[in-house]
Amino acid sequence: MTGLLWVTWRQHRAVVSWTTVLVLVVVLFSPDLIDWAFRNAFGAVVAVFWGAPLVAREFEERTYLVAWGQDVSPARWLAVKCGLLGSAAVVLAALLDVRQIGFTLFGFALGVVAGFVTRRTVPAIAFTLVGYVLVRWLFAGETSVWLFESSVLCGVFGAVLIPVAFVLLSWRTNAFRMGVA
Amino acid sequence: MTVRVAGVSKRVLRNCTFELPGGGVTALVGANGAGKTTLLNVLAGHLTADSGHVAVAGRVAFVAQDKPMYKGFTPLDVLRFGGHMNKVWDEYKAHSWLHRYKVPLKRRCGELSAGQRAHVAFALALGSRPDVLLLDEPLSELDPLARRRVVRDLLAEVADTGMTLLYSTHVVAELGGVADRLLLLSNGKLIVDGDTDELLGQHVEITGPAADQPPVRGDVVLARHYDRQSTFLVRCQGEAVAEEPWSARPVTLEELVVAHLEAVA
Repeated sequence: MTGLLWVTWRQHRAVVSWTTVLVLVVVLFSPDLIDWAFRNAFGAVVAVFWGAPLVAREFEERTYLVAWGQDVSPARWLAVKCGLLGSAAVVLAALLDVRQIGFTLFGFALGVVAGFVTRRTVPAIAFTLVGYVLVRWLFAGETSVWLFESSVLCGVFGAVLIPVAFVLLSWRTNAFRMGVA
Repeated sequence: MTVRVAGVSKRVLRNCTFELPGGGVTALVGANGAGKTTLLNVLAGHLTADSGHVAVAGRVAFVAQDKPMYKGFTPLDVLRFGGHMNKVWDEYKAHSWLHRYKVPLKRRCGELSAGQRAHVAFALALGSRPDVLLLDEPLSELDPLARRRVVRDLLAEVADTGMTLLYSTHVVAELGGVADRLLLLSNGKLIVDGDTDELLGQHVEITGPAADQPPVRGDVVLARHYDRQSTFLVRCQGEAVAEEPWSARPVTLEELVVAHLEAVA
């Protein structure tokens, strides 16, 4: 593994591993139970444990000074981390239920943005959880058609929130600098 | 010029302007809250100046005062991180720094002492072979013996690689023989900026009978008047020749810094 792939894996391997195990257990061993609760909670799990700490922890422990002080530009750092973790989350969501993809993407993006706003892990988690539940409740429908549509809608929200994260990053630091002057 | 700062204002900093040539060691000195950390963060790109312009030529490494590091990483992980995150990476240099200061390589940074964690931060910064190394109070976690070794090793790095080192400190007693250049900050304003040897040559302490003015031409930095005696610390233009009954003596860098800080206090 090279570059940011190694960095992303080294920093997030624990949370990615246990989430994957949890998903596999639900998918493989309880197909009949169809753990409806977990399936619906998956987006929230990703939002709270993957998205929210992504930058909030860097700010809280002041390691953003380390992460954003190397040759790799902060924008690239954020892009690769969001890309890799977002993709992994999408794959796991798809294993559970295709409709979870949109909710999961939205939750992840909301968590990342919350990290920039609060700059502390626990407040970011709280902010994310409240926001996620609120949006899910506002756009919840009785029918499965509605559920599908709200999933797509949430996916669109997520797609909008990711650029917001980059704007917030560029407020915080010289995000788009080139590595070597 | 390797570092060019023109009219920068940010937080406490007001209209800071200076330039640093490539290579050499510059000490950034000032009381707590003078703006040293803000200035270094602006130079490192972690803060954006409200006004003014900053240009740093080449690759920059910055070690913050509290030496932040990923707690779950071992020092070996930190070196791998450095290799993955930088276009230039000197594994041998980083490794030998950790070895020299006996940092356990396989213990998590969260379990290391503050001094050991500081060495991990130094190893990461030096391993990236920066053109400009910015250190904020680099010695604050180290014991007196380690301080002298670190200063010696950093000076050797500067001499070897030709990098530019800018470090902040409020321990003026440790300046002597280290810094080629001095930047003195007070309440966000740059009050002294110059070559250390030149500054030492310009400043002189003149003592003699009670008087309002010293008998030499120059700016009086600090004047002290006693019953029958006056002492002036003067920044002279040209050579200071004091005739009887006045006597002149050179000042140390510490006296120079303290006098300037006292004068604006």
